Order: sequence, then C-alpha cells, then structure tokens
Amino acid sequence: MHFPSDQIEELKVAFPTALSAEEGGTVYFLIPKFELPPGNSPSVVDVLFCPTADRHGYPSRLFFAQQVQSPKPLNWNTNGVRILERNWYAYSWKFTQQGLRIIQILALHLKALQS
Amino acid sequence: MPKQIEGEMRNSLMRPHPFAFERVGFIFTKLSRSNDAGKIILVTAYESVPDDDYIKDPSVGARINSAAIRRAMQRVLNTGEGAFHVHIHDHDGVTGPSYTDRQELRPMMQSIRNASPQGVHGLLILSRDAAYAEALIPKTSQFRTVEKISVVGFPIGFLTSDHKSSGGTHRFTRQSFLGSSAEQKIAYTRVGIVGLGGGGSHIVQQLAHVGFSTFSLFDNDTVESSNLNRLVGGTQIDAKKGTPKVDVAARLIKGVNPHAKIDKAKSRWQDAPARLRACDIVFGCVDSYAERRDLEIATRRYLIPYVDIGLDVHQSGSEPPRMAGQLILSMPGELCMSCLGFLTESKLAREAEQYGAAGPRPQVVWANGVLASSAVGIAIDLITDWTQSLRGPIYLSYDSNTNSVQTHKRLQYLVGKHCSHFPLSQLGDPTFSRL
Repeated sequence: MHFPSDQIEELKVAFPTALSAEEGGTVYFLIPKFELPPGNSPSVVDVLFCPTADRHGYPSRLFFAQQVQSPKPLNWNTNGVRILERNWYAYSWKFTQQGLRIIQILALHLKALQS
Repeated sequence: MPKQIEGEMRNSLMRPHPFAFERVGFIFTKLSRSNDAGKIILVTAYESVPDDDYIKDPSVGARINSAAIRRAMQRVLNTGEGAFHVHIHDHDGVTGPSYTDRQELRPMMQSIRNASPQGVHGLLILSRDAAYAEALIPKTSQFRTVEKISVVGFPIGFLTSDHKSSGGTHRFTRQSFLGSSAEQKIAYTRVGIVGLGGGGSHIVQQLAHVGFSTFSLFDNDTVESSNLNRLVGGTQIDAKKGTPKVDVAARLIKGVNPHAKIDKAKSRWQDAPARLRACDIVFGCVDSYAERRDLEIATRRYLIPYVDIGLDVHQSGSEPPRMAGQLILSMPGELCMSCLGFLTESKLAREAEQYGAAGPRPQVVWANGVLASSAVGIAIDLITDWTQSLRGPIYLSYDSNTNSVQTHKRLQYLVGKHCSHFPLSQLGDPTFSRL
C-alpha cells in the first residue's frame, strides 16, 4: 500500500527516526522511543503504527512494545501479538472520523492516553 | 528454498553452454535470527551467469569472469543479502565440492562477502536429485556444511537427506504404497502443531502413528474436564491435575514412538517464535481468525507450509444446528487465506467487535477427527507425493450435518491467480526502511 508522499513527509518531520516495513500486505510504521503524553508509564516506548485496517479487524491501530499504565484505564485486548517478528500490545480504540491524514490518525489513537 | 527457484535454477544450469562444461549461477539469501536448531537461510532469488561471462578454460568445468562476480557483489552490496555460488554435478545421489571447488570458489565467496558482511554466503552444489551446501555465517571464518536443504512447494523436498529406500521397517509395511523413500522423508520432517486441543490432539496422534518423529508442540493451556469430550489422550486425572496439553500430546507420541524428539513449548507460539521457524510444516488448530492470520504470516515469512483446520457450529431460529469447518493448505508462493477469501476484513472486524473473546466454541470429537485426518492426509501427500496430484492450494469445506468434505467452490474461480501479500523480498527477518 502506498500513502501520499506529503503525509509521509509530515510523519517524518514529526518523527525523524520512524521506519516503515510491510507484512502480509499491510504497511506499518515503527517509531522507536516514542514519548508518551504525561502521566503514562513508561514515558518512552517503541510503538508500531498501522494507519489502515490491520489484520485483527480494526480500521487502524497503534501497538506498543509493552502495556502502558495510563491515567485512564484502557482495554488492552491485544497482548503479545506478533508483527514484524516482535510481540506487541494494543488497547481497543476506534473512532469514526473519515478521510484523516496519517498523522491525525496517530493523534487520535494517542488521545486514549491523555488524562 | 522455494520450489519455483529450485526449478528455475536447475533449468538454467542444465542448459548447454557454447564451450563451458558446466553452468554457474548465484542464489541470493536472507539469514534468519538463530534459534535452538541453528540458523535458517532463506533463498530469495536466482540469477544465472550470462554466456558471455564465461572464460575458456578446459582445466575446469566452468570459469566465470570478473564482471559476473562484480554483479553478484553489487547486488549483495545494494540489498544486504547473502550470495551462494551454484553449479551442478550431473549425476544422481550425494554430491560434494571437488578440490577445485574448495580451492577457487571459497575464496571467491569470501571476497563477495566483503560487500555484505551481514549476509550469509557460500556454495551450493546440486546433483540431479540431491545437493550439498556450505555456508559462511557472519562473524565466522570457516565454511560450515548446511545440515538440511528443504525445497518448499508441491511436493516438499529435502535435498540433503539420504532418501534411498532402506527396505522399510516392519512397522510401516501397511503403508509401503506411499513410496520407497516415504518412511525416511516422514521421519526427517519436523512438524509443528499449534493448539493441542480437539483438533491438534488428533493430529499429533496420527502423525505419531504414521511415523513422524520430530515434533514442536505449542500450547499454553492445561486440561480441564470440559476438554474431555474431544481431547485425544486426555484423562480424568489430567483434568483433575491440570496437566499441560503439551504433556498430554507428548505422552501420546511417546506411547507410539518412544524415540521421538519432542520440543514442548508450554506457551503461545508467539512467545517461542524460534521454535516455530525450525519446522518443515506447521498445523494450526487455533480458535480465532486473527490467530490464523498471525500464524500464516509467521509461517510464510520462513517458507513453511501451513495447514489450518477449524470448526464452528451455527444455529438460527428453530433450524437444527449446522456444524461446518474448513481445511486450508497455505503454501508459500501460492494463494494465501486472504486470497482464498477465507480471511476477510469483515470477518476480522466482526471478531474484533467481540474484543477477541468469543467465548467457548462448540467442538466435538468426531468432527475434529474428520478435519484432523484430512489434514494429516494432505501433509503425507505433500511430503511423499504418493498421489502425484497435489500441485496447488487446498481449501476444503466440511459439512458435518451431511458428512461431506469437498473442495470449496471458490477455488475454481481462483485458478491462475497469484498471491501478492507475501513477496519473496519479505522472507526472513523484517527489513525496515527510513521514511
């Protein structure tokens, strides 16, 4: 899958160390040492961002290298799923807005971690 | 090695050259992370050496010029892959490097390695029905003989084992129709079974009886009394003690074959991924669509044929319940479970709506037995090629109400289609690119 280059550029500006890889026809963005919003523990964690329908039935998904203790309790219903040869964790989080840019999708996933 | 590449390589190497006695090519490889069973080298491509790049030298079978070597070197430099020099010794049976191969080809590959030190490089020497390979692993200086060369396709082939008939043992006389080398091939195959409940326990039992002797078992669950309606080998004592399902399966296998080698992972396969990579074929007996997808992706990454079985019971209104299931053979390079229309975004989304906890699904021993038996039959055919007719993906539908197993009707519309989800470039450890 190809994303508009301006949206990729936007992601790159925000996260210069971000990397991408494809698996099973789905593109993922790995953002190493991602700084989480204040109040979360750990405060820094690798995340794997899937801006399109992932293979677990979500329209988009944000995976974490480990579960995060967040200000609000979250439903961590994906635990140790193997993607790109690494185990990932994710909370259940969906939103209805359509036509979002990649970085907006990421921001909406992170909303769950805000106090 | 994918069978397509093996075929391409053999066809190319067997062509006569205007003056050289042999032909030469290169295969390109990716190295997986090491595991308990050693390292796995995955072949991603073959390139022949063009006619013009041979040098006339009657003292050797074939000599190639520096342009051919430079081209291989450039490719590994660009891609980070490894390269193996390939040629063929035109005879049957076991083969190996000649004095010249050792003296000339090893230094050549050491030199190519300088362009991609992180790759695995080496020599592959084919005979008509076998092969020899030696590899130079990163950060080592000695060539090491490759233990096992698997060709993945229809049928699965092992080029390094001695598959000549040993006359067979008495235990297998009733299945001698499988072929003179079937016993050895079956014994040489490492089988992985993920999920050792109703389906997996049947599969394990049958594999042990048919002669498999190297197993990797994955299940983090223990026996409960509600399992006893279908768990082959499970006892009331197991339910009372909470025996791990891998232990029940291992006990079943050992009862049939005390010499079997069993690698037990009392965990999810995701927590023991290296053990999965070492398998030659994997049976998936898991509950959810998402788990199936994950397992298929993991096996495709390491060129492992994956056999999936599943069963479900549906009831609507006052109609009697309908029990149905499926059996899919997902062969690397062929149509995957998404291409076959079995795994769809809508099915996955519906499953996700239940937050991955669909609750206990109805399962019964006889229906699991039908699917498990069919799965074992397909694996045996894949390994022995006894029917000489298994040459494409398998998608079977099982209707327990009518006691029928038949090819899924969707398969007829997919003839000639190709899978785009798992390109060979994505074999092995993942490659990440900067944005």
